[in-house]
Amino acid sequence: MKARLLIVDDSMVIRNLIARQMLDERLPPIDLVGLAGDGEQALAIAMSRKPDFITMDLTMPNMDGEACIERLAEVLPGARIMVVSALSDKTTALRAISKGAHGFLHKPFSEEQLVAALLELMS
Amino acid sequence: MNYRALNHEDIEVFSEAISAFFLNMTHEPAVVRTAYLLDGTASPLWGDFNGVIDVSGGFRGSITFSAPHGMLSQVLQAIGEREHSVDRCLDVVGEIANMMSGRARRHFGEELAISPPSARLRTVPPAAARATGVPFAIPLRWHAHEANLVVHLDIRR
Amino acid sequence: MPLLHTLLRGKYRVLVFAVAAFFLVSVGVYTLNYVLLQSVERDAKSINEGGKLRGYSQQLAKAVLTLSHESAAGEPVQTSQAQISEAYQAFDLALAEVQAFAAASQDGPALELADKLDRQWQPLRDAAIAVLASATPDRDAIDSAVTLSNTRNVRLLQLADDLTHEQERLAGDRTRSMRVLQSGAIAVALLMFAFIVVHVARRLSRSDREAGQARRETTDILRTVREGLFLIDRNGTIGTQRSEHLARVFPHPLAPGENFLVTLAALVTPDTMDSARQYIGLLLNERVKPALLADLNPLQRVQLAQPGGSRPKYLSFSFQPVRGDVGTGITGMLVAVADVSQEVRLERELADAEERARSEVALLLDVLDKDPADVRRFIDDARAKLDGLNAALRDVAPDAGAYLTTVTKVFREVHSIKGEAAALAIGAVATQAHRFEDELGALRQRRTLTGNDLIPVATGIGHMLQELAKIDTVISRLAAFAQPAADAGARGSEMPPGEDGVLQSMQRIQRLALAVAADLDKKLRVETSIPHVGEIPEPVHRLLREGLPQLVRNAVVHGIEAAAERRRAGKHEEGRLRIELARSEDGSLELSVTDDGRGIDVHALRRRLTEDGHRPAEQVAAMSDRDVVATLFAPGVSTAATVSEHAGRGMGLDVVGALARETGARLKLASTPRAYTRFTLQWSPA
Repeated sequence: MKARLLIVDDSMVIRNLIARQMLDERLPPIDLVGLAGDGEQALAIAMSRKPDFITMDLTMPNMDGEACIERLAEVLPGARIMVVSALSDKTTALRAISKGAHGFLHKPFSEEQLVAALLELMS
Repeated sequence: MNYRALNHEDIEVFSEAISAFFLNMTHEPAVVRTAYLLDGTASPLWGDFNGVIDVSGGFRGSITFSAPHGMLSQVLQAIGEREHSVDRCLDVVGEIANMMSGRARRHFGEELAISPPSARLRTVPPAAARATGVPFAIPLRWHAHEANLVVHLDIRR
Repeated sequence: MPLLHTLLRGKYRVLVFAVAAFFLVSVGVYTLNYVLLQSVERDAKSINEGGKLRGYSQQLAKAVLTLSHESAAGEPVQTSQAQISEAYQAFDLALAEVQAFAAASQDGPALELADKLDRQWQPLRDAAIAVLASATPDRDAIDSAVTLSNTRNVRLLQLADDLTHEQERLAGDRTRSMRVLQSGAIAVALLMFAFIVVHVARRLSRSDREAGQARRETTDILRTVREGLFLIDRNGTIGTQRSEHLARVFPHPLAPGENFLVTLAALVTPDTMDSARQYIGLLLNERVKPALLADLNPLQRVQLAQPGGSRPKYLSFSFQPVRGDVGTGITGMLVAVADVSQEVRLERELADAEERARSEVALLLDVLDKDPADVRRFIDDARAKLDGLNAALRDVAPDAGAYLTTVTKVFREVHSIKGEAAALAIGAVATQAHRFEDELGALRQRRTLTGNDLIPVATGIGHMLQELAKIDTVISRLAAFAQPAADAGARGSEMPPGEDGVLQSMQRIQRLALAVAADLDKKLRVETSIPHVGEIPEPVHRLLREGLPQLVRNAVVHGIEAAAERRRAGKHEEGRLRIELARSEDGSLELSVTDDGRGIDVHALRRRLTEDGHRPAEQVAAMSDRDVVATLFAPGVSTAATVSEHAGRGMGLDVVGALARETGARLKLASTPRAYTRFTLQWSPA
């Protein structure tokens, strides 16, 4: 059973960067179920494709990451969400965690940091 | 209103954010070549692609990262992007601006209000300066290219 | 079951066994009592049987006699016969009982007595039975029965008595031994009881002692710890135990049972409180990994709202989840509070002190008594220098050598600005320049410089420019005040600097020298000699402005010794500094600065040159004394051991050297170790 992952980031470059990292041999087999550029897209994909894991940017157009996490906690409570954001102040992090995030990765991140964070999320 | 002069830490927050981006994303650090004051006579540093954040709330001004097209397409190549379109380049400077804003929040504290980062082409002229202090220019080198960080910031005492 | 298990395995094991044993012994005692009672009863019965034997024996004897009389009188004998029959049967029964008892007792005498009784009884019994054989017994049988009865009755009575006594003795013996056994068992039971009591008492007193000790230690900890400690439950309700320090740290009593979050909400901003609630909620949430929350504590340094205008109070809270017994999860939190106001205040005060030093008022006082033209010239010069440095920064090539050259250049110029600022007594700029020099000095020590290192250089230039801008503002304001007066007097500052200007700058130099000496705790007398020298060309003015302060500073710092050292050397405590400006007959102008200090120690200078790694040792050894001394005017040499604001940076003389070249002066140096040093600058007539 492959782990199902959804990547949410308004930057195409970052989305692709994370997606490419999925092939890292340290990670379990991952099925990429979708790429979303904002919260609304993310929600739509999440409802139809039911990912197990989600990487989530915070500052995005339409629906920001925080609101998206909150909605996902209602509609897809089983999914484990990792925030991937350049915002790193305490309030933001606390809010994201209390809304239901399970991990936090600061941008910019190295490949090692990304893989480690994903492993932690999937453990 | 009383504003203090910038300390080197106030500038390093941004130069380090950029260095970290290059190091983490491309495994090649971007190296600060120098730092100097941009006096009024010099032409503003506005490159092919510009990532800008505007700040307020006890602060006044903007921070700009400007990079030439050649540099950005090489960055895209380094991180494995096949497409080197204008949109992708804008995406990169936008993301760098995003990371600068993340660091800025941590350094300057919660009262710093930051606009959403914006990515602009050379053809879109920069907005009029809001800060009154002297801007600092920090040229950064990556491979053979040189980008510029311009910190134009007033910090309330 | 688990209870029993705990009891048997735990500290109550001994007690449990003791109680069980006591119980067993008690049961034994009761059983013994029962057995004893039984045997007493049996014995009584057997004694009773013995007694009955006597009775029946008598009864038989009496019935036989009656029958004999009745028979003799020819009366009917049925009644007597019936009595005889009854008596002998009763005797038989009693005898059987007695024999059974004797057999059971296994007592020799008793058995013997029972046997004798039987033997004595059998003939009499037979005779009695013979009397009963017919309704009218014959006379012989009767007589024989009477005779036997008479003879045997006494014997039987005697034997029965004996037997009774024997049985009584036996019963007594048995009872006694039973009593002993019973007493023993009771004694054992009592001992056990005593053991239990003592053991329990000891246990209790020990656990009391331990509990007391633990309580005392807890109290000691809570009384001594330099942190406010208390517990809250999952709802925020405050527990009963807390450290004494808490009352000193927290401005509110935090009574047990109160809600901590409610109390806190009144003391911090709503935003902070929101974050705090979120943070505490997440800490209590078992599913959130603690690592995720590291560094997210919003109450790490928080300002408390204080009633009235008292000093602001900053507290640092930390929260540690408290887990109950295994399986119960997080039951609450240990809260630790520390007062960090002092640290915060110190930080602020430091910043404020720096702020005050830069304030415009200080600046105003700095420049109030100066010639605005001097200050203006200084500002323009300094700005031009800084602009040049900024251009050098902008155009620097990206390599460590170029960086070092640039930093050195900045250092030299800043040093020269500092010298001028100090000569003009503009403390704010001098202080700023000194601080900047510190940073630059540290940079110059680095082996390899990178572009990053230039960021503080750029901001340092920014700070200097800002300082200059402030002074500019101040003197512009002053000039605005002074303008009308100047207009009225028709005497502008445009007038070329003449002897007045020279005198003024000499006075400033004198003040500078004395200030430097006072700062270094040296005693100093300054003599100036400026005979009429006529017009002074601008290059000489420039040197007086920029170079002379360095020479004077150098003389006071490096030349003049401390008072104690001078005393030891046999010199007057007060050092002497002489500044002369003179025109010689051939029309050349000569400026000399002479101090009666320690002179220039060429050996020390050679050592410094090698040690600092400026030059290889062989090269230094090959240099002439003159060349060694000439290095004083090269960048980066100093003979002072420590760096103060005044000198010791190896800067200053190189500024003089550069100025001499630029203004076309000949630079001469004369010195005798331990006696004097004289710097002379000579300008040939134009």
